[in-house]
Amino acid sequence: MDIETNDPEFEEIARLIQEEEKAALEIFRRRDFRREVKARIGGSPTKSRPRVLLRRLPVPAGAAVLLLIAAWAFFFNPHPPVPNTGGDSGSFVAGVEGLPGLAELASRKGHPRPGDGESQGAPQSIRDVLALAQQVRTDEGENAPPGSGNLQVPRLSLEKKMMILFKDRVIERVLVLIRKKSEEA
Amino acid sequence: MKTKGIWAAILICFWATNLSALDDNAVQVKRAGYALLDMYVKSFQEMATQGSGAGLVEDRLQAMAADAKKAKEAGEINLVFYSRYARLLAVTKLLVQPDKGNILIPVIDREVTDFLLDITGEEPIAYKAGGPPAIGQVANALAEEIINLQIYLDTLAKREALRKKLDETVSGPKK
Repeated sequence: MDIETNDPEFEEIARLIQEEEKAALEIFRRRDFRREVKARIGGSPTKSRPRVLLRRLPVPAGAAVLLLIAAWAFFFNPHPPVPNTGGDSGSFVAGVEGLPGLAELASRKGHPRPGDGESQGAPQSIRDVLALAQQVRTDEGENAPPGSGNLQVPRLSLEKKMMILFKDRVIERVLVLIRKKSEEA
Repeated sequence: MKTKGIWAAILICFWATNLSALDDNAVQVKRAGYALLDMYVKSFQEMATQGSGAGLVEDRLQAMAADAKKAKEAGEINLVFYSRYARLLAVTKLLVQPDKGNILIPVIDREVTDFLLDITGEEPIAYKAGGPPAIGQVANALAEEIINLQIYLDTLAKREALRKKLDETVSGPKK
């Protein structure tokens, strides 16, 4: 297709295009696009990141919190709180260290006594502490007289009970004894 | 996907809380129950060692009965455990207490026979023969019942959890 460059309509269109181009360039130079783009690139991470993080955080955080609550309810709620008898920190370790009879037990098992210089820190492991606490509670229970209203601590295992009942036959022995005494009387 | 995760976490939370409440109850019943059983066994162990008479046995039985009643009223033991423990004490007392003039013999025989049949399934042949074999047969049944109660406590939490699961399967979860 031939285009006649002398056509007045073509000249008019070319003139309009040039004017548009000039106006666009003028606007471009006046607004300083390069500076604006740099500012955008420089500022975007700090402005947009929190929004993205905030959008992403609630789901895992909420799930984690719920799971923590569930774990707490499952593992810790059924058990009564450890009595804190004088520990100023109020922590579990302080509570365990304050238990009566622990000092004696600790020395028996080769652990430092509470209040000694070396025992200011936490005990060696949580397993040791729990074992000590359990032992103390068992000892306390065994020292309590029967029928004293102390219904707190299980003291005899099934195996031990079976030994006492079926091997030592304590019930039979007591009943025979009573029968003998009543016959004598 | 995210919504499903949240719902799963919420369900786990509720499940754990329910299980915790269930366990809490079972733990309480277990503690008091174990202590009551220990009292019985330890008392007889002491009395066998010391050679105590009927008077001390009676005192101990009364103390155990009072503790059991207190624990039941405080909700520390359940009705199943209480009724079986109370029966254990009652049968023991029937054997221990002096029956001047043999007035209570029909009652004692009936109760002991029922107890033997319920616990060991044995006919009271040795018991009716009298003497040491009679005492041996009843003492064995008493010991068996103590072990039965201990195993009942050992499995209580599992039993309650299974019962709850079964109830929910049949009639849906509680509203």
